[in-house]
Amino acid sequence: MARSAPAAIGLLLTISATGVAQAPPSLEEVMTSFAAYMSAYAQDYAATIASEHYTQFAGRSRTILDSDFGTVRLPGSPWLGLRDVVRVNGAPVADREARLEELFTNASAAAGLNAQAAVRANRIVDESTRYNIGTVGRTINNPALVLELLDPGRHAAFRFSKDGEDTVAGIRTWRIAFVEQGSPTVISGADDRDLPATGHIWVDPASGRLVRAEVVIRFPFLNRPTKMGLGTVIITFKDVPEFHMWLPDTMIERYDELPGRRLQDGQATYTNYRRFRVESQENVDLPALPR
Amino acid sequence: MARILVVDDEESIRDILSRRLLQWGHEVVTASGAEAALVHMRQAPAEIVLCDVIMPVHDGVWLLRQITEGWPSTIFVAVSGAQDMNTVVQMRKLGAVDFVPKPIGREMLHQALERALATLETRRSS
Repeated sequence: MARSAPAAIGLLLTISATGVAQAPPSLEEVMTSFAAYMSAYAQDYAATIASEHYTQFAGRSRTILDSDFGTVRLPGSPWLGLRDVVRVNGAPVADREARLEELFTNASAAAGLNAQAAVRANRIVDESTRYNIGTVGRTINNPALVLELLDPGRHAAFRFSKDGEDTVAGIRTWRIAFVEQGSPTVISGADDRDLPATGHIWVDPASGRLVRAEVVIRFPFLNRPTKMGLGTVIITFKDVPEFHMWLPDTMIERYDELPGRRLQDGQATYTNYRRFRVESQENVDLPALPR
Repeated sequence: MARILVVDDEESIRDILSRRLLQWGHEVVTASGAEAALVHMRQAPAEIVLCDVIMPVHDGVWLLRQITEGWPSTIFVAVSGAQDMNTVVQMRKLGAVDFVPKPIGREMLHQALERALATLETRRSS
Protein backbone atom coordinates (compact mmCIF):
# COMPACT_ATOMS: atom_id res chain seq x y z
CA MET A 1 0.00 0.00 0.00
CA ALA A 2 2.71 2.40 0.95
CA ARG A 3 4.43 1.96 -2.43
CA SER A 4 1.36 2.90 -4.37
CA ALA A 5 1.30 6.45 -3.05
CA PRO A 6 4.04 7.92 -5.29
CA ALA A 7 2.41 6.39 -8.35
CA ALA A 8 -0.88 8.02 -7.45
CA ILE A 9 0.82 11.37 -6.99
CA GLY A 10 2.58 10.95 -10.28
CA LEU A 11 -0.70 10.24 -11.99
CA LEU A 12 -2.29 13.29 -10.41
CA LEU A 13 0.60 15.46 -11.52
CA THR A 14 0.31 14.16 -15.05
CA ILE A 15 -3.40 14.84 -15.17
CA SER A 16 -2.89 18.23 -13.67
CA ALA A 17 -0.22 19.12 -16.19
CA THR A 18 -2.33 18.10 -19.16
CA GLY A 19 -5.53 19.53 -17.72
CA VAL A 20 -4.28 23.12 -17.62
CA ALA A 21 -4.73 24.85 -20.93
CA GLN A 22 -1.76 27.03 -21.75
CA ALA A 23 -2.58 30.53 -22.83
CA PRO A 24 -1.48 31.15 -26.41
CA PRO A 25 1.58 33.38 -26.69
CA SER A 26 1.14 37.00 -27.61
CA LEU A 27 2.51 38.43 -30.85
CA GLU A 28 5.13 40.27 -28.80
CA GLU A 29 6.29 36.98 -27.24
CA VAL A 30 6.47 35.21 -30.59
CA MET A 31 8.38 38.11 -32.13
CA THR A 32 10.84 38.08 -29.22
CA SER A 33 11.45 34.36 -29.81
CA PHE A 34 11.73 35.00 -33.53
CA ALA A 35 14.31 37.77 -33.01
CA ALA A 36 16.42 35.50 -30.77
CA TYR A 37 16.14 32.70 -33.31
CA MET A 38 17.22 34.94 -36.20
CA SER A 39 20.19 36.31 -34.24
CA ALA A 40 21.57 32.84 -33.57
CA TYR A 41 20.55 31.60 -36.99
CA ALA A 42 22.47 34.28 -38.88
CA GLN A 43 25.75 33.23 -37.33
CA ASP A 44 25.27 29.50 -37.87
CA TYR A 45 23.87 29.81 -41.38
CA ALA A 46 26.80 31.97 -42.47
CA ALA A 47 29.07 28.98 -42.02
CA THR A 48 27.34 26.82 -44.65
CA ILE A 49 27.63 26.26 -48.37
CA ALA A 50 24.87 24.59 -50.38
CA SER A 51 24.55 23.27 -53.90
CA GLU A 52 21.95 25.38 -55.64
CA HIS A 53 19.95 24.19 -58.66
CA TYR A 54 18.25 27.25 -60.10
CA THR A 55 15.95 27.40 -63.11
CA GLN A 56 15.00 30.80 -64.53
CA PHE A 57 12.23 31.47 -67.04
CA ALA A 58 11.84 34.66 -69.07
CA GLY A 59 9.32 34.50 -71.91
CA ARG A 60 10.38 31.57 -74.03
CA SER A 61 13.90 31.56 -72.61
CA ARG A 62 15.01 29.24 -69.88
CA THR A 63 18.34 28.82 -68.17
CA ILE A 64 19.55 26.41 -65.51
CA LEU A 65 22.31 27.44 -63.15
CA ASP A 66 24.09 24.98 -60.87
CA SER A 67 26.09 26.83 -58.26
CA ASP A 68 27.74 26.75 -54.88
CA PHE A 69 25.79 29.11 -52.67
CA GLY A 70 26.97 30.71 -49.44
CA THR A 71 26.16 33.76 -47.37
CA VAL A 72 28.50 36.28 -45.79
CA ARG A 73 28.26 39.64 -44.12
CA LEU A 74 30.85 42.18 -45.15
CA PRO A 75 32.00 44.64 -42.50
CA GLY A 76 29.48 47.50 -42.38
CA SER A 77 27.47 46.00 -45.23
CA PRO A 78 24.34 43.92 -45.63
CA TRP A 79 24.18 40.15 -45.85
CA LEU A 80 25.40 39.01 -49.21
CA GLY A 81 24.33 35.86 -51.04
CA LEU A 82 27.25 34.46 -53.01
CA ARG A 83 26.29 32.40 -56.01
CA ASP A 84 29.38 30.84 -57.52
CA VAL A 85 28.06 29.43 -60.80
CA VAL A 86 29.54 26.03 -61.62
CA ARG A 87 27.46 25.03 -64.66
CA VAL A 88 25.15 26.91 -67.03
CA ASN A 89 22.59 24.71 -68.77
CA GLY A 90 24.76 21.72 -67.90
CA ALA A 91 27.97 23.13 -69.41
CA PRO A 92 30.82 23.78 -66.96
CA VAL A 93 31.83 27.39 -66.50
CA ALA A 94 35.31 27.81 -67.97
CA ASP A 95 38.27 28.78 -65.80
CA ARG A 96 36.36 28.32 -62.63
CA GLU A 97 37.85 27.09 -59.39
CA ALA A 98 36.25 26.24 -56.08
CA ARG A 99 36.26 29.90 -55.17
CA LEU A 100 33.53 29.99 -52.58
CA GLU A 101 35.01 27.37 -50.30
CA GLU A 102 38.41 28.94 -50.68
CA LEU A 103 36.99 32.36 -49.89
CA PHE A 104 35.20 31.12 -46.79
CA THR A 105 38.10 29.05 -45.57
CA ASN A 106 40.60 31.84 -45.87
CA ALA A 107 38.47 34.52 -44.30
CA SER A 108 37.05 34.79 -40.85
CA ALA A 109 33.45 34.91 -42.00
CA ALA A 110 32.06 34.73 -38.51
CA ALA A 111 33.74 37.99 -37.63
CA GLY A 112 33.34 39.53 -41.08
CA LEU A 113 35.47 39.22 -44.16
CA ASN A 114 38.75 40.98 -44.57
CA ALA A 115 39.15 43.60 -47.29
CA GLN A 116 40.79 41.28 -49.81
CA ALA A 117 38.09 38.66 -49.35
CA ALA A 118 35.42 41.35 -49.68
CA VAL A 119 36.73 42.30 -53.11
CA ARG A 120 36.63 38.66 -54.18
CA ALA A 121 33.15 38.21 -52.73
CA ASN A 122 31.84 41.17 -54.71
CA ARG A 123 33.50 39.81 -57.82
CA ILE A 124 31.66 36.52 -57.37
CA VAL A 125 28.36 38.41 -57.02
CA ASP A 126 29.06 40.48 -60.13
CA GLU A 127 30.03 37.44 -62.16
CA SER A 128 26.99 35.44 -61.11
CA THR A 129 24.48 38.17 -62.03
CA ARG A 130 25.57 38.02 -65.66
CA TYR A 131 24.01 34.56 -65.92
CA ASN A 132 20.58 35.90 -64.89
CA ILE A 133 18.07 36.13 -67.71
CA GLY A 134 15.12 38.51 -68.03
CA THR A 135 14.73 42.25 -68.05
CA VAL A 136 14.43 42.76 -64.30
CA GLY A 137 17.92 43.10 -62.89
CA ARG A 138 18.09 42.01 -59.28
CA THR A 139 20.25 40.83 -56.46
CA ILE A 140 17.39 39.80 -54.18
CA ASN A 141 17.03 36.36 -55.75
CA ASN A 142 18.62 34.37 -52.95
CA PRO A 143 18.03 33.40 -49.31
CA ALA A 144 20.32 36.16 -47.99
CA LEU A 145 17.40 38.52 -48.60
CA VAL A 146 15.60 37.00 -45.63
CA LEU A 147 18.60 37.38 -43.33
CA GLU A 148 18.95 41.03 -44.22
CA LEU A 149 15.29 41.93 -44.22
CA LEU A 150 14.41 40.09 -41.02
CA ASP A 151 17.52 41.03 -39.09
CA PRO A 152 16.36 41.68 -35.50
CA GLY A 153 18.07 45.07 -35.61
CA ARG A 154 15.56 46.13 -38.25
CA HIS A 155 12.36 44.96 -36.57
CA ALA A 156 11.60 48.43 -35.23
CA ALA A 157 11.27 49.63 -38.83
CA PHE A 158 8.57 47.02 -39.55
CA ARG A 159 4.98 46.56 -38.48
CA PHE A 160 4.11 42.93 -37.73
CA SER A 161 0.61 41.50 -37.27
CA LYS A 162 -0.70 37.98 -36.94
CA ASP A 163 -2.62 37.10 -40.08
CA GLY A 164 -3.62 33.50 -39.39
CA GLU A 165 -2.20 30.03 -38.92
CA ASP A 166 -0.99 27.48 -41.48
CA THR A 167 0.59 24.06 -41.32
CA VAL A 168 3.89 24.29 -43.13
CA ALA A 169 6.40 21.43 -43.32
CA GLY A 170 4.31 19.60 -40.74
CA ILE A 171 4.49 22.44 -38.21
CA ARG A 172 1.55 24.51 -37.06
CA THR A 173 2.85 28.01 -37.71
CA TRP A 174 1.72 31.56 -37.23
CA ARG A 175 1.36 33.47 -40.46
CA ILE A 176 2.63 36.93 -39.59
CA ALA A 177 2.21 39.83 -42.02
CA PHE A 178 4.87 42.49 -42.16
CA VAL A 179 5.10 45.97 -43.66
CA GLU A 180 8.37 47.86 -43.89
CA GLN A 181 7.88 51.43 -42.74
CA GLY A 182 11.35 52.89 -42.28
CA SER A 183 13.63 54.62 -44.74
CA PRO A 184 15.98 53.85 -46.34
CA THR A 185 14.42 50.51 -47.16
CA VAL A 186 16.35 47.27 -47.41
CA ILE A 187 15.51 46.90 -51.10
CA SER A 188 16.00 49.80 -53.47
CA GLY A 189 15.37 50.37 -57.15
CA ALA A 190 17.94 51.02 -59.84
CA ASP A 191 17.44 54.77 -59.27
CA ASP A 192 18.06 54.25 -55.53
CA ARG A 193 14.38 54.72 -54.81
CA ASP A 194 13.00 53.13 -51.62
CA LEU A 195 11.04 49.94 -52.34
CA PRO A 196 9.25 49.06 -49.09
CA ALA A 197 8.82 45.34 -48.58
CA THR A 198 5.62 43.67 -47.48
CA GLY A 199 4.88 40.01 -47.06
CA HIS A 200 4.50 37.21 -44.58
CA ILE A 201 6.65 35.04 -42.39
CA TRP A 202 5.58 31.64 -41.12
CA VAL A 203 6.96 31.16 -37.62
CA ASP A 204 6.74 28.28 -35.16
CA PRO A 205 5.27 30.13 -32.15
CA ALA A 206 6.86 27.73 -29.68
CA SER A 207 10.45 28.15 -30.83
CA GLY A 208 10.48 31.28 -32.97
CA ARG A 209 11.77 29.18 -35.86
CA LEU A 210 11.30 30.61 -39.34
CA VAL A 211 9.74 28.02 -41.66
CA ARG A 212 8.80 30.15 -44.67
CA ALA A 213 9.10 33.77 -45.75
CA GLU A 214 7.39 35.65 -48.56
CA VAL A 215 8.67 39.07 -49.60
CA VAL A 216 6.67 41.28 -51.96
CA ILE A 217 7.77 44.57 -53.50
CA ARG A 218 6.10 46.91 -55.95
CA PHE A 219 8.47 48.69 -58.26
CA PRO A 220 8.25 51.27 -61.05
CA PHE A 221 9.88 50.79 -64.43
CA LEU A 222 12.60 53.33 -65.14
CA ASN A 223 11.69 53.73 -68.80
CA ARG A 224 7.90 53.54 -68.23
CA PRO A 225 7.11 55.43 -65.01
CA THR A 226 3.35 54.89 -65.29
CA LYS A 227 3.79 51.11 -65.20
CA MET A 228 4.28 49.21 -61.97
CA GLY A 229 5.83 45.82 -61.40
CA LEU A 230 5.29 43.28 -58.67
CA GLY A 231 8.16 41.13 -57.41
CA THR A 232 7.70 38.18 -55.08
CA VAL A 233 10.38 36.04 -53.48
CA ILE A 234 9.50 33.06 -51.31
CA ILE A 235 12.04 31.11 -49.27
CA THR A 236 11.09 27.83 -47.61
CA PHE A 237 13.20 26.07 -45.01
CA LYS A 238 13.74 22.40 -44.18
CA ASP A 239 15.17 20.48 -41.27
CA VAL A 240 18.76 19.41 -41.96
CA PRO A 241 19.39 17.00 -39.07
CA GLU A 242 23.18 16.79 -39.44
CA PHE A 243 23.35 20.56 -38.95
CA HIS A 244 20.67 20.71 -36.24
CA MET A 245 19.23 23.60 -38.23
CA TRP A 246 16.43 24.51 -40.60
CA LEU A 247 18.17 25.66 -43.76
CA PRO A 248 16.84 27.09 -47.04
CA ASP A 249 15.08 24.42 -49.07
CA THR A 250 13.63 26.34 -52.00
CA MET A 251 13.55 29.85 -53.41
CA ILE A 252 10.75 30.99 -55.69
CA GLU A 253 10.83 34.33 -57.48
CA ARG A 254 8.48 36.00 -59.90
CA TYR A 255 8.28 39.44 -61.45
CA ASP A 256 5.11 40.67 -63.13
CA GLU A 257 4.24 43.83 -64.93
CA LEU A 258 0.85 44.76 -63.50
CA PRO A 259 -1.69 43.62 -64.33
CA GLY A 260 -0.84 40.05 -65.06
CA ARG A 261 2.05 40.14 -67.53
CA ARG A 262 4.77 37.79 -66.35
CA LEU A 263 8.23 39.12 -67.08
CA GLN A 264 10.30 36.38 -65.54
CA ASP A 265 10.33 33.87 -62.75
CA GLY A 266 12.50 31.16 -61.31
CA GLN A 267 12.87 28.53 -58.68
CA ALA A 268 15.86 27.14 -56.89
CA THR A 269 16.47 24.18 -54.61
CA TYR A 270 19.25 23.87 -52.03
CA THR A 271 20.87 20.54 -51.20
CA ASN A 272 24.21 19.03 -50.18
CA TYR A 273 24.82 21.41 -47.32
CA ARG A 274 28.35 21.41 -45.97
CA ARG A 275 29.90 23.46 -43.27
CA PHE A 276 33.26 25.05 -43.89
CA ARG A 277 35.69 25.47 -41.06
CA VAL A 278 37.44 28.73 -40.37
CA GLU A 279 40.74 27.64 -38.98
CA SER A 280 43.07 30.05 -37.28
CA GLN A 281 46.69 29.38 -36.64
CA GLU A 282 48.29 30.99 -33.67
CA ASN A 283 51.79 30.64 -32.32
CA VAL A 284 51.70 30.63 -28.58
CA ASP A 285 54.85 30.88 -26.46
CA LEU A 286 54.29 28.37 -23.72
CA PRO A 287 56.22 28.82 -20.48
CA ALA A 288 58.94 26.29 -20.00
CA LEU A 289 57.89 23.43 -17.85
CA PRO A 290 59.70 23.24 -14.50
CA ARG A 291 62.25 20.51 -14.45
CA MET B 1 -14.01 35.68 -66.44
CA ALA B 2 -13.22 32.07 -67.16
CA ARG B 3 -14.38 28.53 -66.54
CA ILE B 4 -11.83 27.06 -64.14
CA LEU B 5 -11.34 23.43 -63.11
CA VAL B 6 -9.75 22.92 -59.68
CA VAL B 7 -8.10 19.52 -59.21
CA ASP B 8 -6.82 18.50 -55.79
CA ASP B 9 -7.24 15.38 -53.65
CA GLU B 10 -7.53 17.55 -50.53
CA GLU B 11 -11.05 18.81 -50.01
CA SER B 12 -9.90 21.79 -47.93
CA ILE B 13 -7.67 23.02 -50.78
CA ARG B 14 -10.50 22.62 -53.28
CA ASP B 15 -12.75 24.64 -50.97
CA ILE B 16 -10.23 27.46 -50.48
CA LEU B 17 -9.53 27.76 -54.18
CA SER B 18 -13.19 27.51 -55.19
CA ARG B 19 -14.26 30.16 -52.70
CA ARG B 20 -11.65 32.65 -53.86
CA LEU B 21 -12.23 32.02 -57.56
CA LEU B 22 -15.99 32.39 -57.15
CA GLN B 23 -15.41 35.67 -55.26
CA TRP B 24 -13.46 36.90 -58.25
CA GLY B 25 -16.38 36.06 -60.52
CA HIS B 26 -15.20 32.88 -62.22
CA GLU B 27 -17.17 29.74 -62.97
CA VAL B 28 -15.64 26.90 -60.94
CA VAL B 29 -15.86 23.13 -61.08
CA THR B 30 -13.81 20.79 -58.90
CA ALA B 31 -12.37 17.30 -59.15
CA SER B 32 -10.68 15.18 -56.50
CA GLY B 33 -8.34 13.44 -58.95
CA ALA B 34 -6.97 13.34 -62.48
CA GLU B 35 -9.50 10.84 -63.85
CA ALA B 36 -12.43 12.86 -62.51
CA ALA B 37 -10.86 15.96 -64.02
CA LEU B 38 -10.82 14.35 -67.46
CA VAL B 39 -14.51 13.48 -67.09
CA HIS B 40 -15.24 17.16 -66.46
CA MET B 41 -13.07 18.18 -69.42
CA ARG B 42 -14.95 15.82 -71.76
CA GLN B 43 -18.31 17.16 -70.57
CA ALA B 44 -17.45 20.86 -70.70
CA PRO B 45 -13.79 21.83 -71.22
CA ALA B 46 -12.36 24.31 -68.73
CA GLU B 47 -10.36 27.25 -70.00
CA ILE B 48 -8.00 27.13 -67.02
CA VAL B 49 -7.00 24.12 -64.91
CA LEU B 50 -5.56 24.65 -61.43
CA CYS B 51 -4.03 21.32 -60.46
CA ASP B 52 -2.17 19.85 -57.50
CA VAL B 53 1.17 18.25 -58.38
CA ILE B 54 1.09 15.25 -56.04
CA MET B 55 -2.11 13.20 -56.14
CA PRO B 56 -2.85 9.51 -55.71
CA VAL B 57 -3.18 7.25 -58.81
CA HIS B 58 -2.27 9.90 -61.42
CA ASP B 59 -0.24 12.97 -60.56
CA GLY B 60 -0.35 16.49 -61.99
CA VAL B 61 2.28 15.71 -64.63
CA TRP B 62 0.11 12.90 -66.02
CA LEU B 63 -2.94 15.17 -66.12
CA LEU B 64 -0.95 17.98 -67.75
CA ARG B 65 0.09 15.61 -70.55
CA GLN B 66 -3.55 14.55 -71.08
CA ILE B 67 -4.81 18.15 -71.09
CA THR B 68 -2.07 19.34 -73.44
CA GLU B 69 -2.87 16.55 -75.88
CA GLY B 70 -6.66 16.68 -75.67
CA TRP B 71 -7.32 20.38 -75.03
CA PRO B 72 -4.28 22.35 -76.22
CA SER B 73 -5.94 25.73 -75.72
CA THR B 74 -6.55 25.09 -72.02
CA ILE B 75 -4.22 26.94 -69.64
CA PHE B 76 -2.63 24.78 -66.97
CA VAL B 77 -1.46 26.12 -63.59
CA ALA B 78 0.25 23.83 -61.08
CA VAL B 79 -0.35 24.02 -57.32
CA SER B 80 2.52 22.62 -55.32
CA GLY B 81 4.24 22.23 -52.01
CA ALA B 82 7.89 23.22 -51.61
CA GLN B 83 9.04 19.61 -51.86
CA ASP B 84 7.64 19.33 -55.40
CA MET B 85 9.85 22.00 -56.92
CA ASN B 86 11.66 19.75 -59.39
CA THR B 87 8.34 18.42 -60.63
CA VAL B 88 7.10 21.99 -61.02
CA VAL B 89 10.08 22.76 -63.24
CA GLN B 90 9.26 19.66 -65.31
CA MET B 91 5.64 20.82 -65.61
CA ARG B 92 6.74 24.28 -66.73
CA LYS B 93 8.78 22.63 -69.48
CA LEU B 94 5.71 20.63 -70.47
CA GLY B 95 3.60 23.77 -70.81
CA ALA B 96 2.19 24.78 -67.41
CA VAL B 97 2.13 28.57 -67.56
CA ASP B 98 2.58 29.13 -63.83
CA PHE B 99 2.38 27.58 -60.40
CA VAL B 100 0.98 28.52 -57.01
CA PRO B 101 3.00 27.43 -53.98
CA LYS B 102 1.25 25.99 -50.92
CA PRO B 103 0.09 27.30 -48.51
CA ILE B 104 -1.91 29.23 -51.05
CA GLY B 105 -1.64 32.96 -50.54
CA ARG B 106 -4.25 35.28 -51.99
CA GLU B 107 -1.64 37.45 -53.71
CA MET B 108 0.17 34.53 -55.35
CA LEU B 109 -3.09 32.98 -56.52
CA HIS B 110 -4.18 36.31 -57.95
CA GLN B 111 -0.86 36.75 -59.77
CA ALA B 112 -1.02 33.26 -61.26
CA LEU B 113 -4.61 33.73 -62.33
CA GLU B 114 -3.88 37.10 -63.91
CA ARG B 115 -1.13 35.48 -65.89
CA ALA B 116 -3.34 32.57 -66.91
CA LEU B 117 -6.07 34.99 -68.03
CA ALA B 118 -3.57 37.07 -70.00
CA THR B 119 -2.31 33.93 -71.75
CA LEU B 120 -5.89 32.85 -72.40
CA GLU B 121 -6.65 36.23 -73.95
CA THR B 122 -3.61 35.94 -76.20
CA ARG B 123 -4.64 32.47 -77.34
CA ARG B 124 -8.21 33.59 -77.96
CA SER B 125 -7.11 36.50 -80.14
CA SER B 126 -4.50 34.57 -82.14
